[in-house]
Amino acid sequence: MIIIEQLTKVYDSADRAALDGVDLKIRDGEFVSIVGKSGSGKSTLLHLIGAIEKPTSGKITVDDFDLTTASDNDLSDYRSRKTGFVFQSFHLEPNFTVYDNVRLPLLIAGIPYGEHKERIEKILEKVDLSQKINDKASKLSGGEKQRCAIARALVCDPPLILADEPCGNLDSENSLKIMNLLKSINEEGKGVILITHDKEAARYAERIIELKDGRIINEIS
Amino acid sequence: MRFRELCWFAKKEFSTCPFLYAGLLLLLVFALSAIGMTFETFSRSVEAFYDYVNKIGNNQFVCDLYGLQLDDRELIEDIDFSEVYAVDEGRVQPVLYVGEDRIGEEFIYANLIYPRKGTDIRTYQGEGFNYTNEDDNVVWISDELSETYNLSVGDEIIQKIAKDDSEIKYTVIGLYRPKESDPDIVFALDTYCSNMLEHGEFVPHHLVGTLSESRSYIGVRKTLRDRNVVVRCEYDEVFDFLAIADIVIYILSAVTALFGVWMFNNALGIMIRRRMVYLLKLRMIGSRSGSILKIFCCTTALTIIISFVISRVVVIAFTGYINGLIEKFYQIGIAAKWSIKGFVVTLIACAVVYLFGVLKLRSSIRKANLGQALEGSRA
Repeated sequence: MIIIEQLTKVYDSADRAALDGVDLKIRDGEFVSIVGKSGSGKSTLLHLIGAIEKPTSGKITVDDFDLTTASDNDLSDYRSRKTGFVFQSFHLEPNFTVYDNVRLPLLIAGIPYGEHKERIEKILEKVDLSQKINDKASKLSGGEKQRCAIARALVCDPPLILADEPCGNLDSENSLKIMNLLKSINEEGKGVILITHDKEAARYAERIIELKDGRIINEIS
Repeated sequence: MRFRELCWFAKKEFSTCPFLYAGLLLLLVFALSAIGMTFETFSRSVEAFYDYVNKIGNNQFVCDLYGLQLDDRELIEDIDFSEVYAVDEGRVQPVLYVGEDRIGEEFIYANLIYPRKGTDIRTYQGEGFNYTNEDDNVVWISDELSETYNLSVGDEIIQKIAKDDSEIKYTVIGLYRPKESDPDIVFALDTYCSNMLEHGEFVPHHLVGTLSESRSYIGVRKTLRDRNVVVRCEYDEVFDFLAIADIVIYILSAVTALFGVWMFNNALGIMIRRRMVYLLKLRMIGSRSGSILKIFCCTTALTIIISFVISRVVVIAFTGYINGLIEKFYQIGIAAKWSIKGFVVTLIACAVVYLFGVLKLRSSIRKANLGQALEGSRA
């Protein structure tokens, strides 16, 4: 369970708060879409849930783990074991192969070497990227890159997937594939928080939260 | 992060940015080689010159001691001279008599010879030169002087001192046949000088010391200068020049080391900036900043170790070449073949480079802001 209380984030360079006293609860295994215009604070909210940034004030607890007071190392462990990130711009290492990109979280989490191959092959099969296992990430198409990023996010089997505009750089065919993949991940019991502009994509979620000027203005279940 | 994972990341790091690490490696090899060569090749120049001087002097190094009276010899007793002897600086013309007859000046020409080892005068009557009668008032005379003044072994020669109207008696203990340029009268110089000093006369002289090791000369010179004894040798200017050159080389070496550290540190800064995106990706997927620091410290340490090994090979090859060249012409080794000093100094330089490198990496990794990086990449 993610509990967000009076969450506020003000950037040093900004003249107003990116998030302004947001209260929100997200159940385990829930698929939530966060929508809103550019600058509404949706990405900031995702970064705060993913412990990439720290809030100015307020509190976020994930399964009783307080992100606002945790140490840097504890937050790293939280990102490694509890969350998987999928970004619009993929954030793959272009010189690494698909196999090595997907392997990175396993190495960081300290998963035994013996399990790596099996886990990677299994997850690449799931995202339909087995044929590209030895290809460099820079050689992949946009859709393949995003599927590789999803495989990387899933390989450590985290309970929560944080997807920030995963279809933002993809055509409609690939967008559909990615959304179906996220849906199937959610159906396996993992929570998914999706940031999107696309109303069609948002409809895959059980709940849609709309943000404007750093505040929640609408919730549709 | 465990060792195996660390090795994997380090290997990936090298294969991803081979030119970046090759640049770091080359930079460090140059700096470490320069330090090594300075300490092993050039800084041994003074010692090489000592060896050269010792070699041409048949393991004897002669220096002049000025400012010492004969009875001041206790001032140099603790110095490891293999031999010390007095030398007159000017022609001394003592007034000598046999009975009431004054000995002519033609016999007193080149009159004072210290009977030291190697003096090639052999007596045919009486005692020969030796060190046991140095302290006695004894004298050796030529057969010509003996015939002219009717002197034989056991007779006396009298020295008259005008200053206090006193007399010093010397006993003839040996007769010899002089060769060309040999004197007709031989005194023990130490005895003669002591007698003159007792009667208020100063005999200008200095002592000559022989060191078996030229390399102890500078130390002896310093010690005796502290005691107001002036020590000189014919190589003084060379030694002084080499001593200054030695200091200059050490300073240059220190500057090279500092420059190397500074350059490597800057290069490391450039490297870490170029790898910042990768570093942030690792942070995003859960790597601790300490683990990332370990990865870059590992690659830095490996770069330094490889640079150290290559620089040692370069230095050893260079010193070998220089040694061969110098030995060919002068039969002395100018460079140390396996210098602990050069090894240790290069090792210390590596440690300093590593230490500053780690500090640079730590500050760069700590400054990395994940949120801003994500916004930047989106933009």
